[in-house]
Amino acid sequence: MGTLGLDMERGLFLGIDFGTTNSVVSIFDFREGEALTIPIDGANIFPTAIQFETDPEDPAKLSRVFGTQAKEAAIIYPQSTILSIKRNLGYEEQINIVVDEKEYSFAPEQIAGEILGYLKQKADEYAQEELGITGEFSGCVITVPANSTDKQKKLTKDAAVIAGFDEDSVFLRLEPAAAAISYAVNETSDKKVLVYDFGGGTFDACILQINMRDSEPSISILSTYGNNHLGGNDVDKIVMDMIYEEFKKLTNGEIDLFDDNADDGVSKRQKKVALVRLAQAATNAKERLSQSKSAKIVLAPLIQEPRIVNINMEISREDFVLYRRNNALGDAQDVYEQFRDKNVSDLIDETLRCVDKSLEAANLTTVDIDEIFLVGGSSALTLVSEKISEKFKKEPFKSKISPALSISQGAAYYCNMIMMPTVKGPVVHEKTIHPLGLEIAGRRFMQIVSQGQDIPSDGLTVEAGELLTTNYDNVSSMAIVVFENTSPDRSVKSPAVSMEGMKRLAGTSLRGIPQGPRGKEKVKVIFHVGQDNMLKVTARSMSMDGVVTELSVDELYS
Amino acid sequence: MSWKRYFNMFAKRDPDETHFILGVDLGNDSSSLAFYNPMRKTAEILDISGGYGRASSPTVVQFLPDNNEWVFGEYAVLNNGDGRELTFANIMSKLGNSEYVNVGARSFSIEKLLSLYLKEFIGGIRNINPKAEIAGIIASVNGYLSADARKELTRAFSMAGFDGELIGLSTDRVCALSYVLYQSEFFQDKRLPSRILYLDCGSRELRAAIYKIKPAADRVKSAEDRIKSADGLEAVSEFSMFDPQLGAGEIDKSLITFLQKRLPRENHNIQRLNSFLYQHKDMMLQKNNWRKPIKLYLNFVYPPIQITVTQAQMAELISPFRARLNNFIRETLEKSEYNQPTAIDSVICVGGGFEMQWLKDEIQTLFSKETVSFFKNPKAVVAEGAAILAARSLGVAELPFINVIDHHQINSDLGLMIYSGSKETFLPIIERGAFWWQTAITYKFILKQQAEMSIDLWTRNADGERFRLAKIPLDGLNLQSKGAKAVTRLALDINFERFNILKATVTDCGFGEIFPATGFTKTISLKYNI
Repeated sequence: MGTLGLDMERGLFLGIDFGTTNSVVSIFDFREGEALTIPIDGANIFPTAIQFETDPEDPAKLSRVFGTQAKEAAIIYPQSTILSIKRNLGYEEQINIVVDEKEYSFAPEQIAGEILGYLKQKADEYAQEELGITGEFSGCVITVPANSTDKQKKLTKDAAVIAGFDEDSVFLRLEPAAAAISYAVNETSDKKVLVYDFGGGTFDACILQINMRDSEPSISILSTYGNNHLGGNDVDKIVMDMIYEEFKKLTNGEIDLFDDNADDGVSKRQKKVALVRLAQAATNAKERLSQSKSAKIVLAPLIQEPRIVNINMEISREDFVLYRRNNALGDAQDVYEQFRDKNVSDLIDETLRCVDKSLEAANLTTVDIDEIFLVGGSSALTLVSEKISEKFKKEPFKSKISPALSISQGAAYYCNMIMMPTVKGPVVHEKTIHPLGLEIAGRRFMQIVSQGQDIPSDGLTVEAGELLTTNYDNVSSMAIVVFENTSPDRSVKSPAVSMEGMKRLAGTSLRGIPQGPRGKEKVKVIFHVGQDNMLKVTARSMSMDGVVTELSVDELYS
Repeated sequence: MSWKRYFNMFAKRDPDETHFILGVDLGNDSSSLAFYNPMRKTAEILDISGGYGRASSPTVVQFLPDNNEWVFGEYAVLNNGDGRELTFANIMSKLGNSEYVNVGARSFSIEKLLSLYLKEFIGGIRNINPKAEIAGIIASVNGYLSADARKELTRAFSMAGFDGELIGLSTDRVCALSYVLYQSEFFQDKRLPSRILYLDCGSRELRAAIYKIKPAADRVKSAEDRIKSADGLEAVSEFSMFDPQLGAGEIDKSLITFLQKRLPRENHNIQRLNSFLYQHKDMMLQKNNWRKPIKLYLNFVYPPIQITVTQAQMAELISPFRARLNNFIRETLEKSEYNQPTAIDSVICVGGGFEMQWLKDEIQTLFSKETVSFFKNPKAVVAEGAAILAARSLGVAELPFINVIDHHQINSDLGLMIYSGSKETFLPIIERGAFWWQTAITYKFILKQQAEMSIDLWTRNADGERFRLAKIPLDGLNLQSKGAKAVTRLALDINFERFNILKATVTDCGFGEIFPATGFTKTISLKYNI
């Protein structure tokens, strides 16, 4: 067992599916030639949750509880428990918690790092105690949604470093691609596959071409499209809305569980507890409705004071599919507006729109797709299979292993590819997903990296086809604004950056350009795309006696 | 399509990813499903837990009267205690008794319930691959499943629509040993152990058996040749024992009691606690969770309750099981006359119980580390072995045959002849296939006055031929006057005192307070070659 997941120079590598709701870790077992999921706290699926409490040995410190224990603690300790941290990665907002009436504040990547650190610690223990390996996991492959922003990817990397992984050994790969590997590993024929990845917090559609080369699958990602704000959690909210409507009916609308300051006789703490229970009852009901025609919801009592309110209701699958959301349920107004009046069917239609975009970007139609592969816990919804079958006129496939494990096991195969590139096994040819470029005069988009370009193992470096020039006399700086064209239209040569599908990735100024007449100074722009689809932009003033300036994405975000 | 047609098809071309060659392990507590992957030439487990990432699914069927709907497996367990649902567990142990259960106004046989489960459980592979074709199935069952139970199980497969696909039934030991010997390091390293201690910890009991492994044909000499030999291997049992008190189900009961002691009486809902335990026991029983106390949140009660479980409390709970396990292993070795653990070349640990860390640790301390084999999915080993056997039957896996000979299984039914008018019927008390150490059910019956007061023990072989085995004289038994005739009520126990030594005891039970038991008892011992 000495060679399990071990590279003599790089150490042990761990494949991590860091999900919004659940996380899974796997390792590639060289001896067996397969991915092996490591159970954390006795289960393959680990709730992405953390709870803080006062350290019993040192009251000045905080101690942490993770996973199932933390998720379940949320009902008793809602103010000190954090769920779905992945949704906060990439946003400036700090995470605030209250432990024993003391307030604490954390950056989202710090929380994510703590959770990843626990996964690492448990995987280290498992490797040492169960597999007899000395040493610990120094590197990892973490999967990220296909549509993650560079900032989200960078913060995910930061979280992995906080967790204790070596900075140079943290690799990011796309979730649908990882799922595709776990699917493709047993393939025997060439085919085009749609990976439909409906997770807890995000949705990704990804189209792959699988070609058999020397009896091993070779995978190319043809296109991907997704929605980072659409997942199973939003389906849960619809069920939660149904329960909350019942609650409003029972209380004649006199109690607002989402307003801590409302004078309705319900304590702040009671409201928080009730909301966590509502959310968990909604998730359970959704899972049951994937297997049964109806689900019973019994919360007796939901609140006890000023009077007992018992929820005892049954939701049929039909009601669940057709019900339209009409409460904000604590969501920010802009978030709620996306879901107001939407039902489950609408949400699934939204995922299918992403599928269409993905097909369009790959220049394919539904008939070109040989197989559809469902991934992610939310793809278990019956309506998903029904709508996919209707659209593609064929039944979708699911993973032979649990759909919840396939992304992590794909990440473990990636570990193998990174550590042992010469060893036989599935190979993924990384390609750029969307065109990347800069905003130029007239608010137009100048494409620098085109869609579907191969990314070699040391990254893809593309120099802008033409040099940028200053537009005015004596300017000392130039705006560098990077855009991603998420829905390229081949018929438009130089699209406006205001067009739908144009995503502004970053923007800054290149300062210190030697002053001179308009058009004299020229600036060379180089894009470098890593295999993790992270972008580094370098802008260099070309003046012989001028200052040479380089910019990178990291600096762009600083 | 029948598996025989697939056999013919695979003779001409290899199976592809649409062909599913299945192994099913039908356990009383949980079941597993594996498929043979012809690409990797090995068996792999299928996730049938409904997305929960487990290698097995509870063998539970549930009827929801409100929706007139059947649900199965994990969902049924988690749903337990929610309302008016009717839950049917322990289905496998109920096979063979022509038992019926009431579901609303209708009556369902156990085989019908099982057929519903099989349809969902095996049919689920079409959700994984819509083009899936089941090429063949081997179902693994307990070695001591009675002939009647096997018939009911075969009918259940037929009722579920898998009549043609079912290649046959095999025993759990044959399946597990096939997996272990052909798929594990023994096969890879061409290093066969000569003496194996096989430990199977299921929900109902811990079973131990010592097997001598040898080539089926003595002319084959080297270990490598043994494996290559088409004649195959023989695993001949030299000794076996079992202990129901060491079944994983007993640990579950202790954990439930532990939780109940910490809950107000009104929250002792056993169904809810069982569901809770199903979700949390792995966490409680894994050693590497014990860096600090575990907190359990019983959110199904109101207000929710938090219970903190310390390592010391868990150690105390496990302690009697540890002691009993030590005795059990010592006794197994002593009675098998091997005495020393070093006499065993290899200890094979299968069954869901080996997911418990304490059990693994204890076995590890009793035997040398190199000797003991644990598996990634101890619950799935039997299903994986069944899939390998299915592949072998379909001509896809070229493996030598392994013949498991259990000398410790009884070769004939043992029982009584019942006379009713001119009709005589054989009543089995110990059924063929049972292991000698298994306790038979005590049979109670009414005896009428007859010329010669005695009871005859009979045997019935596989061909249905009956032979008188022994006579138990009832001299000194006083019958009671009940109505016009003198009768009494007797209890008959038949058990094996030792290997090949049968003991039968007749006891007078009387008729309640009016005709109390007289205290009469008669025991005979006789040699009976199993």
